[in-house]
Amino acid sequence: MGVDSNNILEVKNIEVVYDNVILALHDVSLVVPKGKIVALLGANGAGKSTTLKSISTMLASERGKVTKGTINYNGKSIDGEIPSQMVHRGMVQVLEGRRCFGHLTVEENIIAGAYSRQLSKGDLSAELEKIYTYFTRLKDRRGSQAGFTSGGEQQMIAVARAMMAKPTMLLLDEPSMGLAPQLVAEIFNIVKELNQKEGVSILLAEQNTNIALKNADYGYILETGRVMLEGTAQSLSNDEKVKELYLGISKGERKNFRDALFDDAQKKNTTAPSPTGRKFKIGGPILEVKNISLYFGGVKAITNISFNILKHEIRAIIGPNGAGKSSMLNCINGIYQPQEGTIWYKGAVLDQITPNLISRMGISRTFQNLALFKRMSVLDNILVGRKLHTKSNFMQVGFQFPQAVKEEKANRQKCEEIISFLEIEDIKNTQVGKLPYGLQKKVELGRALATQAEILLLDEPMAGMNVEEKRDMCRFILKVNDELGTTIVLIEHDMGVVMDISDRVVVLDYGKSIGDGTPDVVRANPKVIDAYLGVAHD
Amino acid sequence: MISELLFFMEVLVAGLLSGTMYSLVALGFVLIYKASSTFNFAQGAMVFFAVLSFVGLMEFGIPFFVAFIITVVLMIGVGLATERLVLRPLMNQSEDTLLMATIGLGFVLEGLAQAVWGVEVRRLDLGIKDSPIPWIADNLQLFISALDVTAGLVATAMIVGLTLLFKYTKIGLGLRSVADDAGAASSIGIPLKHIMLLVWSAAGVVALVAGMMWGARAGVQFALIDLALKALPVLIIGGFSSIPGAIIGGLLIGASEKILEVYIGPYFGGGIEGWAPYVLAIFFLLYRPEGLFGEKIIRRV
Repeated sequence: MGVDSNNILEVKNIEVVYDNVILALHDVSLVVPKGKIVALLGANGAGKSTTLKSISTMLASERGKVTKGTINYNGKSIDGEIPSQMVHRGMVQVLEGRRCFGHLTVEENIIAGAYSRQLSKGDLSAELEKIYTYFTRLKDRRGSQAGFTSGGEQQMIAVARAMMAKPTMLLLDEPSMGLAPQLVAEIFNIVKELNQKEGVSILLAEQNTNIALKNADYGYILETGRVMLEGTAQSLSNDEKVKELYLGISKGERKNFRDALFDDAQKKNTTAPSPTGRKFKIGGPILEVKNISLYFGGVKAITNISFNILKHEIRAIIGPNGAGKSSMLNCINGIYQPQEGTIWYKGAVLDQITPNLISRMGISRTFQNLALFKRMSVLDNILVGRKLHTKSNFMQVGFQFPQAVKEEKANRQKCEEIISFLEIEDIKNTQVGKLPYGLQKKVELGRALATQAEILLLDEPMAGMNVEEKRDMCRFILKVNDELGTTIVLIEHDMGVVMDISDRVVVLDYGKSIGDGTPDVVRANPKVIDAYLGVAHD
Repeated sequence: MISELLFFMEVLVAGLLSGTMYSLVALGFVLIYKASSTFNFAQGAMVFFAVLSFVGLMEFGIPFFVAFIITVVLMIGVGLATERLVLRPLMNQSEDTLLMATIGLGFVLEGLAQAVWGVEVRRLDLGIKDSPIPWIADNLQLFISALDVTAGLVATAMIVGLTLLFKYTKIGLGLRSVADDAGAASSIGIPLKHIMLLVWSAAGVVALVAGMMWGARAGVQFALIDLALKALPVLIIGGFSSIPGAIIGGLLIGASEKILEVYIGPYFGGGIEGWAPYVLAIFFLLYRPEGLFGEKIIRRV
């Protein structure tokens, strides 16, 4: 058990407990050799972030504690250290979700990274220039307020900021989260370059197994707080088990996604969308968008878009980041009022609509970045969705009028049904904020279902999920559509999943519609291929 | 006609100048709000504690400047103790918890000040008269108090100083980073406890200066604590996290309460100065909850 001087980091058998009760890591051991990139893989809630935070000592700020095991960094234990001391010792963590200082400029953000160092003015600007050579895109935006830069730029800011502390080791938490493929590639190129030119050792937590293994030297796969598998990046990416777990099953084996989900479910002994298809046949148009344009000041977010949504169908709106997908959804449910064009719902023009009104008319939605009541239980969150169907007022409820009691019972009954429909009975009384992300998304879906809407608008229901969780979500979306007949409109930027479950797809790029039709038609459309593979637009 | 206009000018200027006194108090709140995202209910007690200690020391015959320096050191000590005994144990607790803790801290400081120095109202003589400046009165026919002018100048100086500190120094950058995202700030090695200590000490010094200005006008007494709460409407109007907001908010409140008092007050039987600012604040809460200069909550739907 001697300290190996070739390893910059050695983690041995650590156990981590949150709030004195919740066991997050059971027995995790890993090493990072000097100058290497090591990937930490696994689903949401597997313990990746917890592992990184144990190492950077940021754990204490979340009421977590390393209760067993040892962590040695640069040959010395990290016992009793606090984050600012770890930075002095040359270890910097880039937190999950980028966490830029939104009100500071891009350059101020980066300079803040050098806080722990005593630099003269000249040295500081020399360091800054050096950082800009890696992050050329940031140099152009140095004066902008960081909160208004794109997700990819914010990720770059976070990495650049960390580099200003001149680390010997970087802990990167989910740098690819929620970013379009080209951007992820760009960021990983920079990370690789930093590793090679600056000699920084890197421990990288990623859900995107593919890109992580492409760039790492070695990998560990975590599952529910334990290391399940480890090996060189090469051996892991060829491992059948890994392929099945995280990369999805190889293409070609799968003719019908519904059938496949059915097989999955049988293995797990749960219900699946019926393989024979849906109970409700697709009908005529229920919602029509006609020549919509939306501006923010002088910026055109949406230009002259038209499409329709048929009753009982699953309709996807896809497109790269910034294509106008969320804006489109916001127009449909009345958050934005488009300056031009009309939206027709059940044969009538939707005019002067508000989100409140629209949900009364039977259109419900979920949000990209979750809008749940974090301190309430799952059941209570879903009950909120029943508000629309509650007629008794607070006095009647307060004094327990018979009619109010009856209504309350009916509402609870309905919610119980939804909970069992979504197979979340076991977490019914859990506080939502404590659930992993994937489950929270499911609760949000449950709340939208509770409104008994005719149309569900789902904003990136699968963002930030791994392949397994995505498949699970797909299963429920199909189930809702099959069994309840709910019309579903969903936004995604991951093409693969959408193509499998949608009846028809409309593709947006730079606020314009560039394709509309069945998945096969859209897939073959050269404009769509361009937009996704990043062939030059100009 | 001319005399009416002059009278209006006089009311306006007096209002604006007394507004700077509100700004001074509000400044202390803003400092702490920026660093801990919490409304420091103890700020009023800090004003009272600081100026009472200062007057108490002067009564021992300690010269003005020495007493000032000792009180500054004392307020830094209060900052240090607060960081150590209140903030550090409550780290990672919710902002609500911190808010409650500041209420408690307020009571402790109030009690401590009175236990040490007694409860009677004291006079504070800064050597500046709270009476019209003769030169201005003679030449412009405006009656403007010398104390008001001094308070205005002091407030301006402090505000300029703090703004420069935040904008151009390393510690200022650190403070703004912590204000934005304390977790991220500590991840890049910004020591939170140093920043907290600095901020609470600065707020203590600001409290002392504000207390001296108010004390010279109204006497050093318990009521100063309530007076400090006038900073609440100032902050609602100006924005909790903005230094320029505190100034403009203070001026607006100062001017409007005087003008309302003089021109509309009689219809209500006078004394509307006490509540008019809160009415104004309610309008802001309804139509512009982030205040004039507060940081807009950046959130995507």
